[in-house]
Amino acid sequence: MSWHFFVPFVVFALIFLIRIPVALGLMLTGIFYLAANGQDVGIVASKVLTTLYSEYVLIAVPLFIFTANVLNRGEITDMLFNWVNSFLARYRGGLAHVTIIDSMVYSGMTGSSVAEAAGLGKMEISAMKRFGYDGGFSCAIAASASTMGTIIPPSIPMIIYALLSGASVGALFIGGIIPGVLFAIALMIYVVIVSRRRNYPRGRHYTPREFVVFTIRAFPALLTPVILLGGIYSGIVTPTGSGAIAGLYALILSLFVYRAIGLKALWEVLVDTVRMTGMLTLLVASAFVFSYVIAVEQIPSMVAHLLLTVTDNKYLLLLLINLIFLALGMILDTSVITVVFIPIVVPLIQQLHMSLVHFGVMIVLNMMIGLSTPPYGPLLFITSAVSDTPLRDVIREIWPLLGAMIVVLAIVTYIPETVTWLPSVIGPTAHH
Amino acid sequence: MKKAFRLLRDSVEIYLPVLSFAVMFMAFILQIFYRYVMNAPSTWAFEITRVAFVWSVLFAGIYTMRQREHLAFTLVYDRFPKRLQPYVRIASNGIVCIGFCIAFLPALRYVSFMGMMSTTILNIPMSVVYAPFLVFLIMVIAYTAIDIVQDVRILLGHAQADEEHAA
Repeated sequence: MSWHFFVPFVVFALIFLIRIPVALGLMLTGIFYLAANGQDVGIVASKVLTTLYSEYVLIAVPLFIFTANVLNRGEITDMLFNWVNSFLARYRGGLAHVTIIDSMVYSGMTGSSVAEAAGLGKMEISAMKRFGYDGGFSCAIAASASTMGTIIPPSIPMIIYALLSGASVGALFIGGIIPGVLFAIALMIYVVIVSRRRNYPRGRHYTPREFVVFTIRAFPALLTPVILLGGIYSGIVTPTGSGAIAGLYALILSLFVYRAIGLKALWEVLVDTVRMTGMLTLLVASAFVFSYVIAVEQIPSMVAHLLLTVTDNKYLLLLLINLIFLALGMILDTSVITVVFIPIVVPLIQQLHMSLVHFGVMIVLNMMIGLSTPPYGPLLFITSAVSDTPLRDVIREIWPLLGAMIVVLAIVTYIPETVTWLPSVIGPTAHH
Repeated sequence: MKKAFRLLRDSVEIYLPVLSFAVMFMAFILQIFYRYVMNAPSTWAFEITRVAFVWSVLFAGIYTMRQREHLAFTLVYDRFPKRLQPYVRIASNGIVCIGFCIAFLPALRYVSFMGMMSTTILNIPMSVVYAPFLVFLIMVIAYTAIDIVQDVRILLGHAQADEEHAA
């Protein structure tokens, strides 16, 4: 083992120690490694550029960012909220249930939990607080419900996982549906228990006539997940294509049907999309530089070997991987975990002959839980910031919900059929 | 002069990526239209989508750099004493700046070498498709260099710390 071996690790450590932007830092691992080895540093340019040009599925990332931005701007979030409210508000803790189901429906339109918490979450929290729910509880419910945004298709992290692992995006998307529903059920059970104990209010009882009115108003928006999933399910459009169709449909809805955004807002949406694209897509492209370096140095097989010496029991290994990723989620951003650590564990999963689709949905679910774990929990920060709720209140209320989420994670981990069954019956792979 | 510079900067960092994204989006929609409505897949729209995507990501990367919004891990940095933070920033910007300077010439060679090839339908030289990467490298070098100068001025007492991200 030569000293070159350590160069990428030193750079990698510096990313975390002295705040080097991760996307640039991952490129630096390649630059310094190749320079130290006397190899052509041009390989860095070739890795970044061929990834961007040839990994067609990556185009779905900005498309889904765009869709989420358009939906967040318009009145579509209000329409959905009113619709779910009209049939769920009457129960005890009704607004909390509304938040969960509302997020679930919205998750079928967007692929980012963070966008969902910032847009839909803000409105849900203010409604709950207005009706006497504790601020911390409202934020915690909205944060954990936003988690479904990336489990229920479409999902940006699943696209990135598919790219890094070679699993089918369509199968991953369909595979996320049942875990997403289980997730909603777990959260709702928790709400039932807490609402009784704290005597949270029942909402208004809407008449059937009002329900019909709200349904008709929300109907065009409700078609979005139908179009998206229908397209992917039937295999007519690729997931990337579904991203474009969803974007176009959201744009038509917001511009013409609901007239919720004008040209100025559209420009802001575009600039915002570009900003987030620059951040996320470049990070993914730079990850290919990093995974090239670690592949040359055979790090993944070393890690696989190391983990296999701990145990070769499949169930224990999954437990171990879940624990490691949960710990990483407490301090690192999801996209960083995805691009850095997924390429390291995927070879092990293949070696164990496990389904890459099952592992993908499981690990995305795991990382999404990480979005709500302190100290670094972006969903906690966002929900606290958009609603002026003290962060410590949110953190106090998130613990039992984290417990519920981890129970779902355990179910999904040890009953692979929760993921693999649906794609085998209806998914695009079923057509092959 | 300043105005012209600002316009140029906005063009590269905001207008170009937004325009590329819009072109990519429309080409994609056209492609779907040709494929499913006209039943005749359009290969040129496919190619435009891919080229516009590369352009939008790379120029967008520069805009993200300008906003200092590239994702970074700040938990350790935030714990450094205020007094030391400028040194840490100089170190981190310095490493990025040096690394990207090292990468520039090899990247230039790679991009110009790719000029021998072109896209299959529209015959766009690959060097044109990939050229924004060179702009990206230059801009990253420039932004990190500006930040280093700024931090050195802070350390010498020529500037206030709150001007840190005034750019």
